[in-house]
Order: sequence, then C-alpha cells, then structure tokens
Amino acid sequence: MTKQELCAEIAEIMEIEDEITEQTDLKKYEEFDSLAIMSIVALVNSRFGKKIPGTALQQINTAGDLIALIGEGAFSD
Amino acid sequence: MFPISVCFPSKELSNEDLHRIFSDFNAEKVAKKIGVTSRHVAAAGETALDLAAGAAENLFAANPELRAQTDYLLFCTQSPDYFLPTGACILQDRLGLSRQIGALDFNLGCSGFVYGLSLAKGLLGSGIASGVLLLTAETYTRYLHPEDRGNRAIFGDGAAAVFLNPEDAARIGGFFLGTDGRGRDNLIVRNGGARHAWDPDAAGKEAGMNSTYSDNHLYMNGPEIFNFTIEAVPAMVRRVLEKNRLTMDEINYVIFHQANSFMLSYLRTLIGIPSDRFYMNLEHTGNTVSSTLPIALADAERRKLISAGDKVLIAGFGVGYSYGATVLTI
Repeated sequence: MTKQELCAEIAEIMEIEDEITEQTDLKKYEEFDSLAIMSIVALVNSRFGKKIPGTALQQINTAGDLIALIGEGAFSD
Repeated sequence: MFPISVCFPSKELSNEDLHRIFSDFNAEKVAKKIGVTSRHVAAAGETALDLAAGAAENLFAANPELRAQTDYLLFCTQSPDYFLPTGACILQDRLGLSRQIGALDFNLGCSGFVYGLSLAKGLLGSGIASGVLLLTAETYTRYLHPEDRGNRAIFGDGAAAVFLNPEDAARIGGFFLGTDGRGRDNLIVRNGGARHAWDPDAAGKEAGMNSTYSDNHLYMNGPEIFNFTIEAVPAMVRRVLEKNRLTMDEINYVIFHQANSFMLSYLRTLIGIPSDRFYMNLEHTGNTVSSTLPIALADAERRKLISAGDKVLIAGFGVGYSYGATVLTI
C-alpha cells in the first residue's frame, strides 16, 4: 500500500469528498469520530498487522501522524 | 437447551428519536456501522433488579416448576439497587423463592453470562446446588451523560433469565476465562463508588462523536476496547477450542457478545468464521451488556439457527477487561 492509498482509504472511511493528504488536519472534520477511528484501527491491523496503542490513537491529527506510527518502511512508495 | 427468558423496558428509543434529540445525529450511519436501529431504555425508577425479576417471572410463567426447583440464585449486574444489601437477596423474596437457597450478586459486564455459566457449572457439578437460576440485567443507559450521543446509540437496557440443572451443566463444555485489569480505565463509571465520591460539579468532557461524558457518567474508549478485542478474542477462541478438543469446523454456530456489528464483522473475518455460522443481531436491542448472549441464544433457537445436538461456541468480552468463552452442546 502507498501513502496516497492510505490517505484515500481514510477519506473513504470518513465518507468525505475532500482529498486527504498527509498534512490534512483530520480533527477539523466531525466525520473523524470514534467510529472512523475504530475503522482506521481495523484497517491498520488488517493491512499492516499492527496494533496502534490507545494513547497514540488520541494524538493522531493527520494521515502523516498515522503513517509515522505504522512506520515509513511499511509503505511501497 | 436450558430455558431462557428475557425482559426489556417498555420504552424504546429509535434512531429517529435520537435524531430528534440531537439534530446532528446521523441515524443512517449509526444503523449501518453499529447495526442498531432501536434500543430499550429503562424508565425513571425502573432498575436492573426490576428487569431481572421480570425475566425470571417470564421464565416461571413458561416453566412453573422451576420456581420451586431453584436452590441457587446468581445475579449479574453492574447497576445494583443498593451498595447493600445484595440484589439477589431482594430477588429471593420478590420471586417467592425458597429460603433454603444460596443467592449472590456478581459484578461483571459483557463477560458476565459466560462467567455465570462457569459458576453454575461448578455449583451443579459439585452437588452444592441442583437448580441454578442465573439472572443478568443491566441499565447502562442510566449511567450515560445526557449529551453522550455515541454510547446512547450503542447501549440498550435489558435482562435475561436462564435455569440450569445438573444435566444442563453437563452440556456446558470447558471454559477459557481471561482477565486484564490494565484496561480498567477504558470502560468506567469513575465516580459514585468508594474510591471517588459522586461530584456535583463534575465537568463535561469531550468523548468523540460530538459526545460528552463526565466522571459521574459512563466513559468508554471505543477504539481502545476495539484494540483489546482484536488481541484477546481470536486467542480466546483458539484456546477454548483446544480446551474442548474441537476445531472451528466442528462448531455449528458461534455467538459473540453483541457489542456492535462493526466490531463483530471485523472479528469474524479476522478469526475466519463463515458468516452463515455467525450470529449478529442487535438491531432492536443494542448492546445489552451481560444479556446479549442469552438474548442471542434464545433468538437463535427461536429462528432455528441452532438446534439439538449443535455445538455452539459463545464468548463474552469487555469491561474490566474481563473475557470468557465456552462451548455449549444444545
């Protein structure tokens, strides 16, 4: 998965039309709610086999933050 | 299968009702994501004990002989009427049960029914009891902050009653039981017990999904609970199968605690359980905590999703964290 694909998946989870980039402030969207975060946890678990700890979850503001948590090396860019 | 009866408060709260209360509540999204379109809500003055008594009376109406056969009462709730006395003692009197019985409460949430079965099996297998009435009842909606949209969508109130005799107990297989108190802060009503007094000035806090809670109310860290289930539930399923010397192919049906449909679908895929052997229905009840498993078992039997001789794997998991699973032979 590329970083762009992850951003697109996040937009799909949030059901928003806007294009999400690594810098987009996700917290400004009301769609970035606990249901969306749960879906992102599921996505990261199934695609990367990784568990994001709860404390780190609360500090995610952008897709870039999530990419850093998953690890740059996990992406196929 | 052992007899099961349920009881719900008469008041129902639909997604449309929630939308009327909270104009920003997206009913369609909630129905799609968590699988709930309406839930029952206890009225003012209606307690978990009342619902438990209702479920027990429904059980006795269908099986009148069981009232006299009950010689042990187990009552699972986290919404007790009083700090003391014990709810099960009040229920002994209210249900007109013999005074020659054992009765106790136990405080567990989503794992409560499985733990209740483990206690009942122990009591019946050891000869301490010959007829166990196991009651589960919860009114989590009473713990919710008025502005807590997210949890109001998920949780519903309800109760269930089951009766087990030694033959029923012999049809309950081996258990896997798990506990991890490190998760205690992720699903908690912090104030009002002995540790932290109820605080008349407790401030509202942001809980995501435009929801609010305070330390006097129920707080749930949904994503973190989800993390716990991803880790604990697949391993629990593997271990309970090992314990019963079974493989998933030999299991006719799987019923998990009905937490929310998104979580259930994810766990089903993660573990690799075929969808036609996996129960999912919380549309009209929501998450009723310790009662989801007996409600589901009764519903599955009524809809002939399970029948005599079937091996049914049941698993509960949540608040504590506490989790447990077993295999029933129907």
